[in-house]
Parts: sequence; C-alpha cells; structure tokens
Amino acid sequence: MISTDSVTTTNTTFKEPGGTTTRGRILVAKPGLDGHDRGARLVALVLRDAGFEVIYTGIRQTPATIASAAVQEDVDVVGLSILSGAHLSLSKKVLEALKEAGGGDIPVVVGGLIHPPDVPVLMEMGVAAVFPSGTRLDEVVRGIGEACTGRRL
Amino acid sequence: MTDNTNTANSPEGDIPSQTLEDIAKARQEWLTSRDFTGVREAHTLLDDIPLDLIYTPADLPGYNYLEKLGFPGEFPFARGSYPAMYRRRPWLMNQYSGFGTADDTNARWKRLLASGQWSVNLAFDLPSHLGLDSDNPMAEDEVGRLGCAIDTLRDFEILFDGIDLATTPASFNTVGIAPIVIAMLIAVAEKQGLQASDVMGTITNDILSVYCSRGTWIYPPEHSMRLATDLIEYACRNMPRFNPLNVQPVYMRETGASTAQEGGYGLAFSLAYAESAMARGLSVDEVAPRLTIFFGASFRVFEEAAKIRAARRVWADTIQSRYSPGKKSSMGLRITGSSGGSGFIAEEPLTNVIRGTLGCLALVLGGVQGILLASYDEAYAIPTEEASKLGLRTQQIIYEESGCADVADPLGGSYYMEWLTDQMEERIRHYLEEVENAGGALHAVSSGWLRSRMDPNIVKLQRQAEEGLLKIVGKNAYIEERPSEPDIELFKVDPQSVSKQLQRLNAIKKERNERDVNEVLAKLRKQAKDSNTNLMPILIEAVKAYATVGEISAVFKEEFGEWSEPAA
Repeated sequence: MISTDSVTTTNTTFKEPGGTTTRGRILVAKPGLDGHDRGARLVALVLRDAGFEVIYTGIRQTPATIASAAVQEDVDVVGLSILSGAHLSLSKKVLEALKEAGGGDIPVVVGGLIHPPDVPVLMEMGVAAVFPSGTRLDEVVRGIGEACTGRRL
Repeated sequence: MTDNTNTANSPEGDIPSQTLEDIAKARQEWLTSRDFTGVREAHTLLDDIPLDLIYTPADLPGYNYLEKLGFPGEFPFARGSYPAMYRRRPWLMNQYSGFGTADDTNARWKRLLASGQWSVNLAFDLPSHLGLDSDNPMAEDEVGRLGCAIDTLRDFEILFDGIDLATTPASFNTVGIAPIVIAMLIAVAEKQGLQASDVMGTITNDILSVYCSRGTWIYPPEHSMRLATDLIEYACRNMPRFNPLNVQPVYMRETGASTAQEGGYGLAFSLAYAESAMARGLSVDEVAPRLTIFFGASFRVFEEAAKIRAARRVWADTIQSRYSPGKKSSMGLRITGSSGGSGFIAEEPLTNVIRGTLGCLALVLGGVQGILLASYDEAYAIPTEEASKLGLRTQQIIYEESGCADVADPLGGSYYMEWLTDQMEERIRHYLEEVENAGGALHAVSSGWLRSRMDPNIVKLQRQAEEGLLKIVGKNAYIEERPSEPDIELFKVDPQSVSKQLQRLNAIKKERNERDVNEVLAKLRKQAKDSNTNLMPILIEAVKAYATVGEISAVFKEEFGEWSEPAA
C-alpha cells in the first residue's frame, strides 16, 4: 500500500447529500488528443487517497464533454492535465464550454508540461491555479482543496 | 549487512562446493571483523531487490557457465543474440525525428544522414496516429505539433524524396495506422523502382502497449489485434527485410512498470503477437525472428543490463520449450531501447546529457541491437536539431571511443551481474506468467487490469522523489539558485506548416480520381467485414488511389467501432 501520511491536509470537508464526508468532488480530465495520462492518473490517485471524490474522464475528451460532465456531476473543481503543449487553446476552450454549459462558476485548474511564461497567461484567462510538472503532490492537493473551498463558500 | 548465501544443498556447479563454502566462511569473517554500522541500505528501483555490499562466487551456488551463459548467438542467448555482436556492426543508432510537414522532416532527415546516421525514424503527429486527417476539426492545434502530419501517399513521396529505401532502413513509431503506413511505404518504394521485399526497417505496430499507456488506440482491442496481425503476417510472407513489430514495454515503464514488470509484460505481449501470427498458419521460425522488443533504460546501469540479459534468456527458454523452433534466430531476442523520457529533468536540461549517456551505456552493455536516445531538451518540447544530434554523437562516442563495444557482453561473469541477472530473470518470468494467468495479454490490457498493477508505482516514485529517497541531481538533490526559465533554445513549429499541409491535402483531393477512391474504399469495407481476409493488399491499393489516412480509418471506425478505456 502507498502511504499517504505525507500529504498535508487542510480541514476543508463537505457533507455530501448521502451523508458521507468528502473534501470535494473533482473531475480530472485530459482534453485534446494526447494520451500521456501518467500525470492525470497520479493526481487522481493521490486526491482519492487524500479524501477527495475523484471522477477521472479518461483520455481524449472534448471541451464540451468535459464541461457537461462537470455540470452533470456537480463537481467543485475541474482539473485538466495537458502535456501536448496545447494548454493555452485547450484551457480556453474548456473555460468557454463550461460557461456555455452553465458551469462558469466551477474553478478550473491546469497541470502538465506548462512553460513558465504561460502560467500568467493561463491565470489571466481565468484558470484558478496552475501546477506545472515538478509541482509537489502536497501542493497540488492543497491547491485543489483551496479551489474547492473557494466555490463552496 | 547480512550473510544470505546458502551453499548447502546446491547442485555442484563450476566451482567445487568446498571452495564456495570457504569463500562464504571468509566473507562471514570479513563481515564480522569490520564495522558496518551506519552503512546505508540499497535496493533496485521499484522492484526493491535488496542489494548486498559485495557479491562473491558464494552468491552463485551451483552456477553452471554453459547452461546459464554460453556464447553470443547461442542458447540461452544471455551473452547476446549475435555471435560477433558489435565487432560485426554497431547497433542501429536512431534519433526520433519528425515534425511539421513531410518537407520539414525530409530536410532534417537529410542533415541527420549527413552526420552519420544511417537510418530514418519517423515521429507522427497526434491526428495521424489517431486516423484523423489534418483538416478534421478534432485535429485543430495538433497538426504537425508533436510529429509529422501524414494524410496521403503524397506526404510519403515528399518524405522519402532523395532517400533510397533499398539502402536506408526506415522506422515508424505508430500503431493505430500502422498497416496504412506500411501500405504507403510499399507504394512509395514501388515509385522508386523497388518492391515490398526490398524495404528495410521496422514499425511499432504494438497495439497492446498503447491500451495501457500512451493511449493512441483507435478501435476495440480484438479488431486492433487483427490489423496488427494482418501487417505481421503480410511482412512475414512478403517483406523479409522489414520487421513488422517492435513491442513497446517502454511505454509501460513510463506509466509506472518496474524494471522486471517491463521485461515480463513486454515478453508476454511478444508471445501474444507470435501466437496470433502463428494462428494464421505461419510457423514459429517464420514469425519469431521477425519480432523485436523495445525497452526503456533508466540510468541505473547494472539493473538495466541485467534486465536485458535476463529477458533474452527467458525468451529463448520460452520459445524453445513451447514451440521447439528449428532456427536459432527464433530464440535470439532482438532488443532495441531508449533512454530518457520521464527520467529527464526540466530544471537543469544539460544534466540530461549525462543521464542519456548512462542509459545508453546500460543498453550497450546489455547488448541491444538499436538505440534511440532521447534528446536532453525532451523534458520540455520536441527536440531541437542540435539536441537530437548530440544524442547521436553520444552513441557514436560510446561506440568508437569508450571500448565498450569491443568485447561481447563485457559485464558477463561479474558475480554481481550474474546474481542480479538471475534475480531479474525470476521476476520477469513471474510477471510474464501473471499476464498469461490473468486471461492473456489482450484481456489483461483491455480490462484495465494491467494498468492497475502499475498505478501504485507512479505514486510511489513521485513520493520517493519528493521525500528525497530517490535522489535526482538538480531536481531534488544539490539544488542551487537558478533562473526560473530554462536557458535552452526550444523548438517551435512553423505556423505555416499547418496551412501548407491543409493546402496539400486539398490539392490531392481535387487531383485524384474520386471514382477510384470510392471504389477502393467500398472494397476495403467489404474486406474489413471478413476477418479471414488480410487487409494489406487492399490498403496498398487504397493509398495508391490517394485515399487519405482519415478516409481509410473512417471505414474501419464504422466497421469495427471505436474504443474507450474502462473507468479508473
């Protein structure tokens, strides 16, 4: 078994309709054609270990499918994993699709091979947090926890 | 340090058991007479094989040289698959290249060939891998981005302009469209006045690996397996100089497989393809010598060399015991490999040059037949020309200047190396059987079971790196202040490439005979429905009529359906 002891946890917890306690519902998605999903699966596994409810879409999702899944599943955060270099245009499309699907208030975070100069561009676009490859797992967990809190407050 | 050797009850090996006992006793005396308190523990990566401080003949009780090692080119092939190894010829030095359009790639290939590379290796862009034409809306943002865009035979004509296919091996890294790509290669060879039997090279064509990593599948597994087998069968019968399968356990390595899992799962896949081709009426001697396997190499030299040596032994033994081949080459596993990938760091890219050198050394010491060395800038982007050339130069220096290629299997006979090879062999056999017992390779990957075997390792590796248990120089060890942006030149795709590609595709669609295209696609559809028909001949006809990759794939998608991965 993998130890999760080292994951820094915050005290944000939510009561689900069913009565179970979760730190938040996350949709982990891979938009675009790229199939390198090690990062997406890593984050999904670690978030689950850290007490989040994780829905992983699998690879090759269109922005429209991601948006409708996010709204349908009533998630607190959408996490995009992008390694193909197309993060600017793909993130923009997902943000737009979310607005169209009525989920414009759902925070979007982006992780993957993100060149440092692109981080402020993504933030400007409306992305809530960026986790370039090399970000520590506990930072990802904390950042996503914060994004969840932001929405529920 | 513990004394874990056991010389009692072992069969008599090359060294008399009395001598082994004397060595074990002396070793124990040495251990107790010196102070080893505080000496750090060591183990192999992910497989967690605990390592002793030193290895002696006492660690190899009952060791029989002729049974375990023998000679290069002879059973059990531990020391290499060819008798003269690198004295006869160097391994195939390949650098992965392909970007933008066929003209861009052709120009870079010509420069690589001029600097001493003697083969070409094509990287495809994502839309091509997935059977989407450059003008498909799904292809937006991706045309020519991660590799070369291929839509029709015209792209191949440009790609191989001035490159003689009779003398230049051509390698292709693609799976879902592999049969279409080889149909194009044959068609372009014919335009050079050659035949299918003249072309040399290899294609990935390993659909099993992409179902559990990399994700460039298109169709449901059983249909993909049929297409892969069509190509293997066709090449076995018609293309004696072309290898129709290069199994890619390296992908699984990138998604968490341990060193031994990579070996065991990879061999299980190779056997699954061999079985599938033999079910078409080919003999083991017609199929087995045509299959190759591609391993990843970390920078842990001894573990990787041990894996390679052990994999050859497991393959030879399995092929011999299951199929009683008549040809030695059926048992001599041909291995290619790469180093780099996710082991390279973005923080100090130049340190990757050293990592690549170590990985390359591991592959050479293991005795592989081909190496594709990742470029040091790969942690960021597709390689610049300079970085790609340095990868080639690294290989040339190891071959020409290090002396590592002068003697076959130079690590053979090291107590540690042989002990570790035995350890790897035991685990590789275990993982091979694990897949076969889980319902076979096809089921193990399509059910998501195999992936779940590797998933825990990606968390473990990440945690080990973050906690400093796994030291990565420049990333989590010996870190110094540095500018936030890497000081290397990054490759950029020419935005004109996309419009050029779209124009070319458009022009072809206007020039070609539309009736011919429709007729050949209708024939293709009919043959696709019949799983007893090998689709290669009709695919060659289709590409010659300039049917596009997207049009051909659309027929298959309609007939076979499209696959989505099981929920994780």
